[in-house]
Amino acid sequence: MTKDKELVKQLQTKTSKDQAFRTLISLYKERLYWHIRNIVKSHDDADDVLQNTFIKVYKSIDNFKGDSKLYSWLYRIATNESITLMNKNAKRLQVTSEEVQNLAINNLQADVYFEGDEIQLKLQKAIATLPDKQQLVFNMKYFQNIKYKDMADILETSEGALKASYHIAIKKIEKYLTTH
Amino acid sequence: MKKNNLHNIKDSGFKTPNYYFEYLEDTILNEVKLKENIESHNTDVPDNYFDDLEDIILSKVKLNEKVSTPGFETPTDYFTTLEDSIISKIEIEQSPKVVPLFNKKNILYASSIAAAIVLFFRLSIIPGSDIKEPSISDIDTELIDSYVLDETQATDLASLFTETELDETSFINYNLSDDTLDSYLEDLDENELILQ
Repeated sequence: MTKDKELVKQLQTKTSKDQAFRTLISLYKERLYWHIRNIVKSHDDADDVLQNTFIKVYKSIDNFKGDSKLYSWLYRIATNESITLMNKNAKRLQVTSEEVQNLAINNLQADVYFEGDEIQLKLQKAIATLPDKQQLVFNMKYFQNIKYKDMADILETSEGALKASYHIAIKKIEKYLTTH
Repeated sequence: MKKNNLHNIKDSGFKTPNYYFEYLEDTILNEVKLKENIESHNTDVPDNYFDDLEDIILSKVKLNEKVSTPGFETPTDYFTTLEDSIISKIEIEQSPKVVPLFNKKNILYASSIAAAIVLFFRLSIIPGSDIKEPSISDIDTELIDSYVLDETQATDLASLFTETELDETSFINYNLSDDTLDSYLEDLDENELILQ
């Protein structure tokens, strides 16, 4: 039995669930955090989403059938929770999700937990010009170096489409950085 | 000379382009797939694929040279304390909710309703509830006298008495002095007595 399958089995057993859950958090917290952070930009939002993600995993682990990898399932939940938060913020502020994203990027300059320079801020603005899914693909490949095979499982898109999307994203961003 | 001694030459001096190894996997895979396509006479390759390939790789390299990290930071010890925060949240969610029977809000509502009901019955909402029943003592005695004299007849008054009470002797005052009786008899006309 693989490590993941063993962990899932422990998570689905009442007596070992809590301990296994701590192990799960310890194994995936940083990867999931950076994945979320690249989407929502601010640390506070990323913290909220990360905690909600793990709470959701705890509550619905019994529904996990093992059709996909545990890793892909976790990333899928994290991605959906991130998008939900962005949409919720947009609704609360009565603006579009693009405007919410631009607001989040504009706030980065004053953000205590952003130590990027001008070029890094420009990169965030460049990423924001991409379509939503292309942003996800770019962040996952460029910053986290997730394999296309795993990305296909997480985003439920073919590898070929993801590769094409990533290549186009790179060109657009390079052009943006050159012209701005 | 020492410099030319083989044992002193540690570095081959060879260099690779920046990020060569990062993109090697993609480059090789693309090459392999390309060869597979050619060998199987599969012409299903995106338009201008080969024209764009160099461009794509160069763009990746250039971008990576400019910026490779997003610049995000986390608070000190964030990941160390994260597990405890999440577990606490789950424990709070799972603990049974206690609903207080008497809470300030409910008591306030109940008191307001009770006060409204009391006021409803106390105030003059019900017609005539504040009119005081008049008693006999409130009526002026002169008014009573004039009513009795003007409005009533002897028979009306008589109906209020019983037979024993209406005995003639009840109206006669026998407490007359002898002197008074004597003077009455002296004044009395004998003829009037005979005629009666």
